Amino acid sequence: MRQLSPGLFLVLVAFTIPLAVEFRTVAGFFGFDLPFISMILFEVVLLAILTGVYVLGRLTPDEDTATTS
Amino acid sequence: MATFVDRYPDEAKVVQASFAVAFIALGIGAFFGLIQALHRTNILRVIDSVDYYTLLTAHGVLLALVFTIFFLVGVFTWAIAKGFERPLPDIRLTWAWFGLMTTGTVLTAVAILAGLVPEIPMSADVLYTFYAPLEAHPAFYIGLAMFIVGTWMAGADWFLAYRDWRGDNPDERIPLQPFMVLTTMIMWYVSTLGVAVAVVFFLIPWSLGLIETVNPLLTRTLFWYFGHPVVYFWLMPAYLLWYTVLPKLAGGRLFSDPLARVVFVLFVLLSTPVGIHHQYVDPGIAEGFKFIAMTNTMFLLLPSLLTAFTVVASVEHGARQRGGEGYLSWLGALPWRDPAFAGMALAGLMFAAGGFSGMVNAGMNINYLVHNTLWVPGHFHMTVGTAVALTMMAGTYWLLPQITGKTVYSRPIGLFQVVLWFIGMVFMSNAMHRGGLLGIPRRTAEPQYQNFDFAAAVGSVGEIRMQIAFGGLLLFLSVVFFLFNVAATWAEDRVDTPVDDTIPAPLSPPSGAPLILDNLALWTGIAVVLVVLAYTLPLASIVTDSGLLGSSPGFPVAISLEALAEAAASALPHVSLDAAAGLRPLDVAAEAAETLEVSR
Repeated sequence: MRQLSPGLFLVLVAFTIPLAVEFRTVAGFFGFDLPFISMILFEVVLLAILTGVYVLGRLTPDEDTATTS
Repeated sequence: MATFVDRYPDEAKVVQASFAVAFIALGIGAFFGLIQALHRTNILRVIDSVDYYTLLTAHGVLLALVFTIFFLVGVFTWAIAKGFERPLPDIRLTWAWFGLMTTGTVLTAVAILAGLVPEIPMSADVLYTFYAPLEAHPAFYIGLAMFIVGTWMAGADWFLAYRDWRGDNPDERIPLQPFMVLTTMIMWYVSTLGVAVAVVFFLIPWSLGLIETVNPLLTRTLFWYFGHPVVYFWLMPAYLLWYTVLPKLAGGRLFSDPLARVVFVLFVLLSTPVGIHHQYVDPGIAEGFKFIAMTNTMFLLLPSLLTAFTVVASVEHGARQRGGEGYLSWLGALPWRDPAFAGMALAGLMFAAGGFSGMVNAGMNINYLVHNTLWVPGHFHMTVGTAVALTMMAGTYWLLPQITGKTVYSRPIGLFQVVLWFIGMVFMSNAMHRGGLLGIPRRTAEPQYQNFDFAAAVGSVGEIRMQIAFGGLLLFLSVVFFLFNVAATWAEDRVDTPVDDTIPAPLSPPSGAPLILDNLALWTGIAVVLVVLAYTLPLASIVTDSGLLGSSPGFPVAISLEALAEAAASALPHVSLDAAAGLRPLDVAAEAAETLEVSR
């Protein structure tokens, strides 16, 4: 599993915010009027995925792709 | 290994002083921004709504003019000395422009902040754009004039350094960083003529009572003659850092020196003849002139897109030098732990989003949809508020060690701070854009939501307000972390090698650039011709319509709640309750005032 540096992890966390905020807008384009709580849930899901990738990268580092950043 | 402060100690002091003024302005301006965000969204009100406009003016002037431009003069002084590899010709001249700019800043700030103290007969609640017929205290305009003259002297200082360098190196290409400084200053000289004329010939005499009236459309047009290029004046130091420092931080080299020169030349040519795009809804300017301004504005996309290509290519090169591979996987190889790199990269990303919302502002037809709504501050908080401000804060983490000889106090705090700024701005600017699309107005302490049906495509007005307040809070906290980190760095002990300050040679060197790119006189001449073509007819038309001095007296911008209450109390006996039934309070007040006037 690719190892994420703490710095990259933090930056990726920041990237999830606009994705979550605009998630409802995109859903609105397709006629789905989602409630406010959906934005929070979507953010939680994104953070969970990201944390999972981060932890797995630490537990099973791939030597070929390990980054020094 | 010696760094900047060891090689150029006198210049380092000037850069330190410039940064110090910039950061003080940043702290005060950000605090006012937080108060506004909480007040406007009705989360927390610690000021009267009357004072909101005083703080709004101070917020705009301190952040958009003082923070950005003081940081700019610091960076440019650093770039000139480092690029030409020599001290500035006369350090007394350098301190003179710094002193003049600082004095002007203090004068302007006092004129604005005095508005908070009723006992002081001084106010300047004219907002950052200081449109006539809103009239400020003369000290406001005089301070601004001193500030601008100070920047002109700074430019002269740097051109004198160039002259000395050219005398010793007649056949050399201008080093890239000084080239960027000099072209930016050419643009600045051309563009500040407008605001200089407006302030010196109209607004100062008018505020002093030497002339009774002004032509608001003329002064407003002259303001925007300067008001759009000033955006690029803020942006150019950020570009300088993106082009020359960001590739180095990424572990690589600038992709193309010639392309960077082309971009800066294009900004010299295209920055100024576009200002009328800020006046699409102004009566008195023919639609044709507005269309020309729109077309010119769209041309400005070219240098922006060239920059996106060059900077991303340079960063990708750096990532691949660090072992990055694949189409996108190389992004993971970048030095995201470095707050200087991460902050600049996030700022660049936000700039792309700001560029897209700017295209909406620039389009004549769709501008009407968002004009004077919250969309506009949403846009410029992404551009100047993030692309510029975040780049400057991030760049500080690389520059401060060079000018102080001290290592950054905490890089983790630095990284956290730049990421916090990005997140805060996502919340705030996103909500502002969405609010703007609903038609929520900007520049008001008391936005009214009861009598309008804001049809939100997604979410509600309440959510937008919460998002703005939350984003504003995060942004303020980010500034607190930044200022703490800077102050703690300054308090550190000096070390031998605080940072690697070398800048590697570009992949495509300047020798590949046509010599004509370095012909500064030619580009200045063409820029002046373009300005003359774009502005002669509109200005002649405005003067023909209403005269040079117009017919508008000054309107006081200082109102007190006491005076308002007295006026309301004296009007109340004349209000008929029957007649007032079904009317909104403002209409009742207007009717009462009318009745009172008639009865007199």
